Amino acid sequence: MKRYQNVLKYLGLVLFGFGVTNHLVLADPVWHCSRSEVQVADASDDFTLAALTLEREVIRISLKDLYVVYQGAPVKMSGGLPLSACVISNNSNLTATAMQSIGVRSATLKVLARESTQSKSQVHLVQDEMAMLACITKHHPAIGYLSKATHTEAVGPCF
Amino acid sequence: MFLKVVTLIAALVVAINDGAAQDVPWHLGSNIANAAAPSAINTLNIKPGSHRVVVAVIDSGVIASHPSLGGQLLPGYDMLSAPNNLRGGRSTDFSPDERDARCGQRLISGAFRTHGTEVSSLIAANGVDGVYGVNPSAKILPIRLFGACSMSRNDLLDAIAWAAGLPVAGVPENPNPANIINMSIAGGLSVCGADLQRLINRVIDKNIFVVAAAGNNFHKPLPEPANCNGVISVGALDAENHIEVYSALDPRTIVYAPGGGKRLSADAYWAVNKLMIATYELDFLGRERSATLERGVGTSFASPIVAGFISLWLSHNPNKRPADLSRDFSKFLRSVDPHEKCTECIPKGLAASSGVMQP
Repeated sequence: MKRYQNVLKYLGLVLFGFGVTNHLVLADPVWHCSRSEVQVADASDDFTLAALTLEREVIRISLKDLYVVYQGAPVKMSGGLPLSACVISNNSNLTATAMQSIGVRSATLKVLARESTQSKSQVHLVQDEMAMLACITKHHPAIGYLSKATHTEAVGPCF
Repeated sequence: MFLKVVTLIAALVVAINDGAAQDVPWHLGSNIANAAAPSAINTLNIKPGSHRVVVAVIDSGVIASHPSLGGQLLPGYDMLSAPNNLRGGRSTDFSPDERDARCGQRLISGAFRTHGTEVSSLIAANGVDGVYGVNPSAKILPIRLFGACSMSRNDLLDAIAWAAGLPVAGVPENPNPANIINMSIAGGLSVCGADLQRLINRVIDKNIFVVAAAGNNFHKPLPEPANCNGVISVGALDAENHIEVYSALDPRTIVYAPGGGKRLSADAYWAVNKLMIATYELDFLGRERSATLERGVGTSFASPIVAGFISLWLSHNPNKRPADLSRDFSKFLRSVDPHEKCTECIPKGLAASSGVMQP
């Protein structure tokens, strides 16, 4: 009987381990972009039509832009504004998956983290997902990643 | 092999059933028992009454030639004044300007051209090309207020006044004053301005219902004109009866209606979660042609559903007034899933019953 219990325990541990591993693998980052127009005005003449096209409303980013900006190279949006990139520093799983998905190596990421302390860098290091959302909002136009699709006034999923 | 064939047939049957259900816009309900979207207003089987109801649509203008609006439009007005009006000033031409995709060198969303047509179709489309308004017997009074360049507050005030049949300096009298004014617009001041509130009070005193979009400010308080007293502010729901992520979130929101949004994961015909609207699109040669598309998203589109619903009610009960709303409308209200970010909100949606046709 005890032998069976041990087998079941072992099996449970294996299944638990598989579940955790599987969960980590499945936690794909969702790329998020700044919205192209943000309505924050409080002016008597400033009305707009209340229609939305959620898919189109964020800035348009190509996969090449995504790759290039996370390599630390400058990307200019239409209108000449530089694209900013936000990176979560202490969430290794999400960051690792995000960077892996666009082919950025850990060595490159370390360089980016170092460069992010310089004021002219377009890469911004943040602590967690809440700070990531704030970073994309603050550095318009910007790009980043979160664990799930999130819509705010200033940020939405890119693709 | 046999199992594969059975699975394929089952999938085809589901697809055919879904196809049948999609012939009718999901926000109006369904002819199939228990198949309606949870947030549908269920007016599908309610025929309009015999009384004519005029709904003013203060918007970006209406393209009169759209087949889905044939016979539904009254003579409207372009209330946009110079210099914002690219035509040079106000006129009886309420259609959108073809140049509305551009203000100077600034490119503008194509919505400015088609928005008013889309909003009008949700109220009173005639069923041609599959677009059904909530009340196909309603008449639309189109009033153009938006072009590619900005508008002025005076234009908005004049548009509301003219819709209500009040005199506006330099503009001919409106021979068809509205019973309902729909404004799928948002912005202005965070507290309703005294000028706008005074005018809305005058309009409501004339027994005219004023309906306005709650705005797409992602859970912030109501903007103008929805934040003015007496205005029936309308927030947006998804097909599953949840408040949409983009909708304003404010305890003062009077009612919620389907507004569309992201596709839902449910395995149902309404999971598309966009509103079917009469609009225009460009073909592969770049020519503009009328179209019926499931693409409406925003409180802009929830508002005309409520305006259409009230017009359906008025077509049976022409003596109802805005003051009757809080008492008489409760029979059409149902609960909406509350939102964690607004504990004091008690959101209500619309669901028709036979009471629409009763006094």
